[in-house]
Amino acid sequence: MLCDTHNRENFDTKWPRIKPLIVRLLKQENVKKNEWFNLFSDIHTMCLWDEECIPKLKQELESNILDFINSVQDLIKRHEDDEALLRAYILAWSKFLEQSNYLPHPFSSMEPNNNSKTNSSTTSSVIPNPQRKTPESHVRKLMLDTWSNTIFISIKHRLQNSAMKIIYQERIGEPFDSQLVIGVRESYVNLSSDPDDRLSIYKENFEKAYIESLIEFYNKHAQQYITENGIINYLTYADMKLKEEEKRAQKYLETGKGSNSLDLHKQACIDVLVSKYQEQMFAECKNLIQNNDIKNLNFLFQLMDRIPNVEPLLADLEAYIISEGLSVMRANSETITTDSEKYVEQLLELFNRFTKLVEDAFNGDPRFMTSRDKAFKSINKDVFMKYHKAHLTRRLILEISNDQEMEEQTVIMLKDIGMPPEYINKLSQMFKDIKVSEDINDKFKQVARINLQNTNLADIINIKILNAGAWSRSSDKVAVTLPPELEDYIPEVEKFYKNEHSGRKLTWHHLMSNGVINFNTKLGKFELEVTTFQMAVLFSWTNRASDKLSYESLRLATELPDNELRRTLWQLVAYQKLKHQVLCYAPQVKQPKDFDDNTQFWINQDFCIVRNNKAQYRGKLNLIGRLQLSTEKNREEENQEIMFLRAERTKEAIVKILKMRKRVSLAQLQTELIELLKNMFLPSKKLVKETIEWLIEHKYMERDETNINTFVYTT
Amino acid sequence: MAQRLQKELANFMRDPIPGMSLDRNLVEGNLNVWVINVDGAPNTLYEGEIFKLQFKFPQRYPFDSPSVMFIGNKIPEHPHIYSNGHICLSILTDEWSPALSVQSVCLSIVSMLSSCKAKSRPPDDERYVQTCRDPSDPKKTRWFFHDDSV
Amino acid sequence: MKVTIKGYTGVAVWKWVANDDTCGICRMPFDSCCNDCKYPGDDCPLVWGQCSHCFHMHCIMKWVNGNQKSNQSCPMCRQAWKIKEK
Repeated sequence: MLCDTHNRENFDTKWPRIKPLIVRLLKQENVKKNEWFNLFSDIHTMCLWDEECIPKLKQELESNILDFINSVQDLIKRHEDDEALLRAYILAWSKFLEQSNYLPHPFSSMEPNNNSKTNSSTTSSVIPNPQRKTPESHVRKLMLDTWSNTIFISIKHRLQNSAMKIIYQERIGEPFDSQLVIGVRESYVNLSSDPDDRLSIYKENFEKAYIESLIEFYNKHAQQYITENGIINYLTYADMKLKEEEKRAQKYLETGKGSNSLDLHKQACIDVLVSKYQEQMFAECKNLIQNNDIKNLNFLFQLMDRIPNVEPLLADLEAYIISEGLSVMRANSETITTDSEKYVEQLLELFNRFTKLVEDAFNGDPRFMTSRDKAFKSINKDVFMKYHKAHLTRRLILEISNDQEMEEQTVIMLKDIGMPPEYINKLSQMFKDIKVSEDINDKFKQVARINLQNTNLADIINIKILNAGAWSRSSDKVAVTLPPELEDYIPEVEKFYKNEHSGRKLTWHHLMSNGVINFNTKLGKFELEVTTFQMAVLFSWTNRASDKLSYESLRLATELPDNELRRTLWQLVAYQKLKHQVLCYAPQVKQPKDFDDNTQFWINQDFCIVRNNKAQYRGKLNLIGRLQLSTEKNREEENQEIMFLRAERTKEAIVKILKMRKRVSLAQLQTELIELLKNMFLPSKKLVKETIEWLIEHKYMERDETNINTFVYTT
Repeated sequence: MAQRLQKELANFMRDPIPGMSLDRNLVEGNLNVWVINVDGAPNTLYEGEIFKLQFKFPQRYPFDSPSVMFIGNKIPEHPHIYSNGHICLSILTDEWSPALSVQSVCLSIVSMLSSCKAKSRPPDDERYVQTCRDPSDPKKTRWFFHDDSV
Repeated sequence: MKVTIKGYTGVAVWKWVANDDTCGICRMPFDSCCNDCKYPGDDCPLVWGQCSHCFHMHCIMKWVNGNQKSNQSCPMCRQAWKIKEK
């Protein structure tokens, strides 16, 4: 190359031409197009010819940038008013930032790794593109770092404090200029020259200060609000502030890629506005539910769900449902036994009330729905199922259901409120069975009309033949002598059924059978609805209408077991609803078990029905009342079944406690066991002891080696 | 199938077979595979030894037989038990009946072990273990039965 | 005094006449139905073999139809399975 050129293109000759342009560029003064292009070529040729020039160039650049920044700093610092300082800084910074995008371009030849690129694409890189960040640019880094190390370091506290002051003003409702805060934030976000951690300066300073000032503010104001207005009103306040702060944060915090400011901020808000007071808030839950204060419950729920910690709310809801359910059950104990339909209605109403509560107060949250089901089931299931099935059986057998379709509808609703599927299945089996039985009855009547000598019988007799599995658990046969008129029909039915269905055996359930009899005295004519047993007793006077019959002779006549006979006679001599009883007896006793063999019974020839204080000698009367579904013996079996179920539940509960505790003392185990089981029954000490022995024997648990009253769960 | 297995499980717990116990940990999650701990019965050649017997129930159980084999590193040494745990027992394949159950299979295996006079492997053990179709499922093997008397 | 019957409803329950309480295949009580059914009775009848063993019809059909080789034998006694006609 030409030596001559070389000499002319060195640093010392070029720099005096370059420097004033640099200064003007820094100051954002006007630079002409050809000056701007010359700058490119000067720096380029200089770097090409003078190998020594780069360090010198860097040094000079640095000192010029520093001089410029120092002069800017002097100007800014003259402002004593915070807001004026902010404004001046933001303005100066935004200019400087803009320049940091332009100034590096002419120096691209200086970049060690950029030579080849610039050579091949000189034309395109000549046109500066402010959008295109050149993070690798040495010059840009130099500019930003110098800014950061001088002016920023020296006034960042004032900047931050001023910004936080503005936010404070905003929080307490005074006038403010949000653009200033945004400007400060921008200056922090763009200041970092490290492309891998663009946000570090922002995070360490602005974000930190923002969150600290938030916490400081609410530590004071939330507490103050609670003191002045109480925790209930605070629910609304906290909800409002959370939403307000969320909006504010979106405005002032960096939301761009790589920033988790909003998450940090959200957590800080929850900590300072919610978690800190959660105990106080939880304490109110019970009352809010009790008072049906949906609005505040909903606030409470939403606040707790932010933590998230809704467990205590679930527990309160469950406790409430259980206590409500139990009190409704206590208040309606009469209805449960007499009118199960009405009782089911009440239960459904209660259930719907709880559902509405969960929907309105807890936004229908599935966790709360589950609690509702759990609690509702635990109070009502056992009691309810027992009564409901018994009453349904009675209604279907006695055909006193008003609306079978509605009954079936009820079953579907029961399924919806979480009754176990086996139970629901049993109920629908019963409905189906009744329909099948009606068909069989029709068929039987057709056959009977042809076969029976007494065709009249075919008209008065109906049969219900039911599936043993669906209707009764045990079919103990009670012997009874039926009226002679009915004697023929039993073998007839059995023969008929055998023809219809081979492989099936019939068992008569006289306990459930029933009829209507004409009961005619000298004075009156009555129709009585009676059980089979009552019928058998009354027919004992056939052909000896005015005799007095002893208890013993009635037993002979009816064949009824002792306890059934006593029960039946009591219904006929002491039926609560009657003024005049069908039977009279002597000597008087207080209860059925006091009848002895010589107690005398006779037909009340003066029997009449009293309505509106008038004796009536015509009329219908129902003596069945509550149809007995089981015999004494049966009840004993039922009792055993209940005891068995109790033992099973106790086993499950002990295992559950041990699983949780791993190791537990006898006393603690008993306490927790009662807590777990009290809604079903209170386990006796004997039962607990037996169950523990069983569990040890079957290796579910063992005694502690050193203390026999401590138990350890074995896995 | 699940219902029947539930019932079998309840029965197995209620009337345990002496020397056999269910590995409870293995049943809790998955009803389709049971592992039963087998204690060698007193006064037999296997007294003091402990084995693990595995039942795998197919989808169509009880219409298809369960897949039953010994697992683990202790396989009883018996003329009808291969060293890979497979058992040569007719009721497990050709003579399976849905009236059979885990309990009845277990009883058969107990009696098979108890009646053993001398410990040995089946004569074709080495060849079988190398060539059987699926080491993890004896049901893949087409069995012919050595000897019905044991 | 005279007592006469005007109407009477006799209630009886039916059970299968079976030599066992439960089906040897599905282990469900005969009073209830097989695992695939919902209602016992006509929907899920029992059948008796000539060997006198009985099962839910659905259960024994699954066994007899599903098993090519293992033949048509009664699961209880392995005699050939033949339905006993009424």
